[in-house]
Amino acid sequence: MLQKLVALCVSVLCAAPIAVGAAGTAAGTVIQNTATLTYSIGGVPATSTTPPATFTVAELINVTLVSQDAANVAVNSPDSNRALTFVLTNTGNGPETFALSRNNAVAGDNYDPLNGTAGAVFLESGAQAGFQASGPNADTPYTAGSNDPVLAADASRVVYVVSDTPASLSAGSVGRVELGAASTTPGAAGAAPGTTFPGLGQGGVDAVVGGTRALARQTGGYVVSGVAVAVAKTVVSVVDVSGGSSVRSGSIVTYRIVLAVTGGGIAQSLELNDPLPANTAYVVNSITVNGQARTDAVDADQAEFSTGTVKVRFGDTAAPINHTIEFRVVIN
Amino acid sequence: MRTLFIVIALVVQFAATSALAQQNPILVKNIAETEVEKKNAQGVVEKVRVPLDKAPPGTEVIYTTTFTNNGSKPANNIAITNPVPQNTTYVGTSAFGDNTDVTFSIDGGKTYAAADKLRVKTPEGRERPALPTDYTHIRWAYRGDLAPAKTGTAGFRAVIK
Repeated sequence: MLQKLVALCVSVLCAAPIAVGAAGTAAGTVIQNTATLTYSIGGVPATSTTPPATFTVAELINVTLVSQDAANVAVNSPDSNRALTFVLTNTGNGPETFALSRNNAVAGDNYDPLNGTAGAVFLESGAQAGFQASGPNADTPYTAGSNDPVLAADASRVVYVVSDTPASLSAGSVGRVELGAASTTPGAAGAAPGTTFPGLGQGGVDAVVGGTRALARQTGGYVVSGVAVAVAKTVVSVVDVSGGSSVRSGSIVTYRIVLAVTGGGIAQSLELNDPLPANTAYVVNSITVNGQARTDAVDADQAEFSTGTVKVRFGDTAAPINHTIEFRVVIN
Repeated sequence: MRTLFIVIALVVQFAATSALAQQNPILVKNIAETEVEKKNAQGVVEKVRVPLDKAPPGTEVIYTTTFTNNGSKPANNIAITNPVPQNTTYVGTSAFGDNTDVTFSIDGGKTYAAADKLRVKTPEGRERPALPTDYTHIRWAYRGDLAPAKTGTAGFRAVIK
């Protein structure tokens, strides 16, 4: 019996900080207060207790949106499906559903981003951090009224605003998008703080509009970046069969290619393809990328030698960065 | 069958109430209110107390305990004890009550002391003065006798966490 009691106390203690989180006491909590009076009449002590004064904690509707991008997200012109990242947080004290909307026509920028071809707004699926438009860890396309995020008190959800970029924009052009989140409690969004909606809160308690007016807006931006890729190929060394450095049959030539990605933004699907010069033979497994050996096979490593061509893939590459590739050939 | 139950329940409750009245000539009541701003007839905004039924976090609650001597003899050694309810925080210096001495508890009602005498042990083993948020109970000691037909009042304010 004693053990049980102790266990109960511990669990209550543990639960207390959760119930009284940043968002406040949970909606629907009943708060009671009973006062006790002790007194004596004619030397006889007695005790009275009051009936409890009782009230119920109403639901406060509050919400915030916070941009997670440290700066404008670099895009190319044209570009597609580039994500801005936001965190939606229910700062109220009860579960609440929020409708999301995006506004591409934000004043004061250089161009209007377009809704992404993959979808305009996505909800993080939780499978993999960061935006994935497709694949096994794809995030969830958002459709207003169909999968409005439902958040418990204090809970958060990552939301992506996904945009295409029009063609022919000059480097440095900024396009901004505003994401909005609004409580779906009828009438709540935009109402003055303190506005009360009887019975519309969690479990039938009153819903009260909080200081955020039951809605949140946050702007994020894109910047069109000028990305340039320069390729420089040099001969690092020539070693002939007799240990000298003359170029003749049997000499081994080491080539070095430097890929310089300059400017700002992302070079998409960056890939080097270098066909071997005529009258040379490739030295097996001689490719190195930034000093690291690579295999010739078409496999998971980024480099391969096939159909007479050295190929190295870098994928989407954020500028500025340099990559150095080396390989060797034998002169026939 | 259902009717019979209700009748029995009523009788039991009535008996309990009358027994209580005989044992406790002091009638006690406890109410929870909050203040709202209202315009009066002259158009001036003034604070009005209204009974509290539902309220969001951040609301200030005013608890008022009244005690009336319905007996024929004066009562003495009167003390009112009221816990600061769970999920609320005591509002500093808000305790009120005519003709009373107020003390506070920070240990769940085991011991009481004046506000300036309460010390809290920090996790580092040091001591600091107790804050209103540390208070768990409030006690009002009524000075002197409460004569028949007289009423006393004691109360405090708390904010919903």
